[in-house]
Amino acid sequence: MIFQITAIGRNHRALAESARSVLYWTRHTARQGFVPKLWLVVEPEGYASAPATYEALRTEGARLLVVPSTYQTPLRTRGKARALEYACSIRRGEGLSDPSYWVYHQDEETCVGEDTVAGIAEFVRGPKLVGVGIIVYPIDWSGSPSHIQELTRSYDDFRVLDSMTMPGNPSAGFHGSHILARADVEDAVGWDTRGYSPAEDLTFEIRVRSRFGSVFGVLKGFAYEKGAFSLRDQLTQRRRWMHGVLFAVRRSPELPRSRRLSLAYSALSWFSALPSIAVLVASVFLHYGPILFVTGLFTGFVWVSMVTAYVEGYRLHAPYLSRRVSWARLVLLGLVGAFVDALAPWYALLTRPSTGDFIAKDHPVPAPTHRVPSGGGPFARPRLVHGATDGGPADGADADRPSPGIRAPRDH
Amino acid sequence: MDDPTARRPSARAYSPDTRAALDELDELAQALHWTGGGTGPDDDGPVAAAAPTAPTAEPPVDGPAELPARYLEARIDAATRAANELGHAVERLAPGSDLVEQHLHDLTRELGRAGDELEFLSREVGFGLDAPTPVAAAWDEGTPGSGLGATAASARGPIAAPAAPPAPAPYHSFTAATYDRTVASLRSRRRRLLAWTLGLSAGISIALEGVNLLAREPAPPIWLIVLPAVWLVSVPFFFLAFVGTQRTLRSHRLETGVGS
Repeated sequence: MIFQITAIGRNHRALAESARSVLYWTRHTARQGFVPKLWLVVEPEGYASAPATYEALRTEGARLLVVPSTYQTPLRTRGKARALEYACSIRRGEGLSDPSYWVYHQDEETCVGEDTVAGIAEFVRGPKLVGVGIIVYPIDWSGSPSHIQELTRSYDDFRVLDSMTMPGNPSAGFHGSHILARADVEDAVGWDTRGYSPAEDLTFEIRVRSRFGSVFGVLKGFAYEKGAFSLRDQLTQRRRWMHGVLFAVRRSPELPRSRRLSLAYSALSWFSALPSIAVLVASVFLHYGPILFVTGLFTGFVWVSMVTAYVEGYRLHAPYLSRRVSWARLVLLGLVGAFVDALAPWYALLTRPSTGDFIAKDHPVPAPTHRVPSGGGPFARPRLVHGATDGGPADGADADRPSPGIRAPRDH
Repeated sequence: MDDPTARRPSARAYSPDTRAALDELDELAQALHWTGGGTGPDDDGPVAAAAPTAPTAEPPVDGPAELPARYLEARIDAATRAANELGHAVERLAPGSDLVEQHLHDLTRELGRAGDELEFLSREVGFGLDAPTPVAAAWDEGTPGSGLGATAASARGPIAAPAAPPAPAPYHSFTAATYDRTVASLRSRRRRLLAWTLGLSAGISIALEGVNLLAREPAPPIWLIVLPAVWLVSVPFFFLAFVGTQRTLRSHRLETGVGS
């Protein structure tokens, strides 16, 4: 069982925590029935940002794969797909692409729990070849609008699980993390696409379904992640998803027509959110009259569904949250988060896909308050920086000192 | 078979009795064909045993692993002291060597974690660690400073043995019991959710229709029809989500059963 964390690697503290959650729970979960391995697949700049962290993780039991900057896939894909394909190539080369190996995919902030490991252990005994489970977002929870918006994603995962296990995936759901694939299946399909694939997970799901049929199953256990820290990051993240959907609709030859339609519909549904708000506001000035007799039939259902997603999403998270929020705050900030989600597809439509999107997952911490020659008077506030080190030597990450000119190892 | 003592870097620091006891344990373990599994870059041993094509009946945690685990505490103690001895040596030979100190820090920290792990095994899995093992007893009889029988007070050096457990990481609370309780609670609410959603939806819709009826608004221009129609675009999606969620909660037992 390969637990594979694939990321750029610049959020090294989040990545280290994810890796250690694997090391911890694979050692503390009984009746696994598999031999766990931990692979960290990172880009050279990620490694160079925190070499001490990565070396510490290596000594703790992880295998570190730094994707060589010269590495090219046959179709010259870029972004995360390139790193994933690199890991595939390593497995193929080492003879690990066989039915007795499985790969559990994690993002850099995907922590596992005892339930995750137990769920994996159960899944690999079953007949399905690819598993997807539910993700919750309790780590570094602050109750911000972007965090509240993530509550709905967890509840929506029940829809995703249903859709994914049905032939044709009618409501188009999939994850890029918390997925488990048998190594021979993953390596046969691969991640290589022509150019940049903004949603490599969706492309992968389409290919697996096209080649192996309906082989998807429900993976028990949560994965534990963290939401975007800011609305800007939330917007950037959602933009990437929409670019991925549009990419799949337009440029995935494996996609059957029915699936293409369902995917296009899910995109259209998302696009309709912002105009719906505009139409609602316009109703103050315009009178729609008898038309509302038709729309009114469904309005209650839509409203209740949306509210249920927040409430039940919050209940799913509640046992893991150290900080609770009031219902008033939940409603107010939820509206802000929902508005950003409504805005995102239009933002995606107006901008081009970018491989340079960096979404911070290391919580901002105050940088050491050094006196600086200028602009650092006695009343200067400490700078908030992403990825800065903490004050005390709590773990290996704190020893990171990005060195100029440091060279990343190709493969440990 | 290679010399078992060669695998222990600080074997020279052991007393003859302790070394003999450890060697005997190694021989016992080999006689029982016990091999320790684990996660590691060099651990390229047996592949995942639980593949669907060849499922195994029992996981590796059970069975013969119990014997070496009885002496694990003593081994970890020995390794911790060896790390401390090494720390002393490094301080004498290469004072101020940050890199070596960092590695030693890592080593000691890992040994501390191994101790935590052992405590967990003792508590959760029920390995028989209550009675002192022969090796541990031998150490207890040793003299402080000899490398054996050292208590925490002897762990003075550049790297002290971790006395207090580190603050728990957030993922320590991600247990199967909490997960099982959470999903079981949601599953138990499924029918209520169904009734609540349908009932409240109907109530809201009826109220809206009533308000609309009372408003007696005139028919709008035809072009206005397009605008509220936007609201209907997402209705099939919400319907699929509702049905899908209900179906998932009804037809899948999501609990792992590990936590119960």
